[in-house]
Amino acid sequence: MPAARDVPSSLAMVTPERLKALFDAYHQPLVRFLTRQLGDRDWAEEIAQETFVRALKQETIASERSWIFAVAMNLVRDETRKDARHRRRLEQMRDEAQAESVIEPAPTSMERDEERAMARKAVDTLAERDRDALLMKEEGLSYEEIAAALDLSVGSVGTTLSRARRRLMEAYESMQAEATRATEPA
Amino acid sequence: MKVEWEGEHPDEGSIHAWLDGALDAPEAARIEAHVHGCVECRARVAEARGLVAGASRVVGLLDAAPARLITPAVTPTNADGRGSAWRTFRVTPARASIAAVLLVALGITLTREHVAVDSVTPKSRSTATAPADERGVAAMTPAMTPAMTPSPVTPSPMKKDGVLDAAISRRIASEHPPRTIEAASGVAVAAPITSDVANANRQPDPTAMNRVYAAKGSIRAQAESAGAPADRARVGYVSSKVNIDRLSTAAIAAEAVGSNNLAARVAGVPGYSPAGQCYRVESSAPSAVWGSVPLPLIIAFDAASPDARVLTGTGGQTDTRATWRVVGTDSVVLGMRRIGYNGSLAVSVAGDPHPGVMRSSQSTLPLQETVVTGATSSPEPKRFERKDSVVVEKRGVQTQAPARDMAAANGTAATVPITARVVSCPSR
Repeated sequence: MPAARDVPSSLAMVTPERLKALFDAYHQPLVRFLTRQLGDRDWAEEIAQETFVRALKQETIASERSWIFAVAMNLVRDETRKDARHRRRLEQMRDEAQAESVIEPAPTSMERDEERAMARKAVDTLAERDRDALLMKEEGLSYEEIAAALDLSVGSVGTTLSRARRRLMEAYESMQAEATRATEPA
Repeated sequence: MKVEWEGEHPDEGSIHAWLDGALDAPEAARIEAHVHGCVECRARVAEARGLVAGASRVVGLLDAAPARLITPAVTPTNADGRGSAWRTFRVTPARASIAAVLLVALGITLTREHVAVDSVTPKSRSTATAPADERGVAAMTPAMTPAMTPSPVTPSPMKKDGVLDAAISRRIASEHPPRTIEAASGVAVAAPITSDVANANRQPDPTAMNRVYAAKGSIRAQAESAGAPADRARVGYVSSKVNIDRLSTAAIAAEAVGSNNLAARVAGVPGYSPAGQCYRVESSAPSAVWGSVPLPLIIAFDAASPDARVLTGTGGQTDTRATWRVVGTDSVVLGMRRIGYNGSLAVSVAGDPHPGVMRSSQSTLPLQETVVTGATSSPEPKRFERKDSVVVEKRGVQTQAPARDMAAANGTAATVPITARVVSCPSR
């Protein structure tokens, strides 16, 4: 299967109706996917917007969903490569999430913030492709769509996902165990 | 998608693909058949199910919106990323403000309870009590009445008053630093006074009560102009000694509407109580209404409690009730209790019929925005007679916050002169 990023682009304009349909169908899952990737909602919105701008320039898109996710991911990769500022911002946000959990007055919220910070950390431990595959799966993309977006064979998607899930849970559970040890009296 | 087999068992990726529903039907059937007969694979499938669900949950945690209530000014973290217990329980400005609100609320609650006990036994008041502030009371919503009732019996702890005083003083002082009557009229408590005086001026045939109000207003205004600290004058009891012969403009205005001796005008009937009686309240004003009850109406004072029923002129029931109390030795003040209305009614206890005034308006102040403050302790107010003047140790002025809102809410209602006549109570 050809990779989505290889879909030839042409300068023909997508009609406004079609763009609206694309937007309605994919904007929300795309922003959530990107937010989970980046930990930054504003940044995610920016990239989603840029993704749809690029869609405007496509005459036909073979597999819309995988194309959109693939383009968005490539934009993320490009940006993170050329702009280390965002990475620092990402780390800063992570620290803030931890700080929030420290001063959160309600215990349940404190737990929730801690959990979120841990989830963030755990997701970030994954290899890029594993993480992308997992986040796409969580957005409801099929194995075929994931394969198209990531330039994988369909047969390796299961392996990629199983590896991503196992590593994610191992990372998360070890952080949890550490946190539990830290709060328990010696 | 084809299942990858590791020897006789499907590999982990295929199990995930099967659980994800990504396999073709024949492939899925093959795995299912194998797993059915393979204990080891059943365990692996169970584990895979756990991983699928767990990973989904962890990814979902990334979406959790920050639930922080307090924005940290600084976000220090320890090297290990965990905060110390000191930071967890430290005092932040936001926490401090919450604590302050709770403390004030506690003080108010205590005040209300404490005063409510006193207000049941109005007769226990000293007959030497100088006239209290009917108009201040009349300007309150009924719900506030108990809390603002002065309590001469049991002084409450100074600490509580101190907290309240300080809080309200700061608020008022920051808004209004009046030293003069004009300035004072801008303040909530003073506002009803000046309107009384204006009222007295406006009415061609003012009742004796109007004059009494005006005179009392002058005392209050005098107290303020005489240098009582502007903030303290509105909080709790103020023992400003006022020379009545140093009449302020307000008192001069009062003089203009009546020529009786001032001391006589503020005289009352010691020990008077309307408990168990019924007043028929009338007004010469056309279509006068107290809240939603048109005049004439009948007020049936409860014999054993500070409650009163408000009846129609023919003794019919209404939705309106009231709380009553005797203020000083010369007035009975009622606060209306009717959802959606503010209202007060005050009559003199002397004379027949009793002259008085009433005022009501539709409530514009949601109750949750009403903060009631008031002093609860004071030495017994004193009254001195001198050769050349009457010196009155003025009883406390009560106020409420947001005071200006309340004054505005009441300010929209016209004060209507009324007369109240003691009648036999209609049978229930």
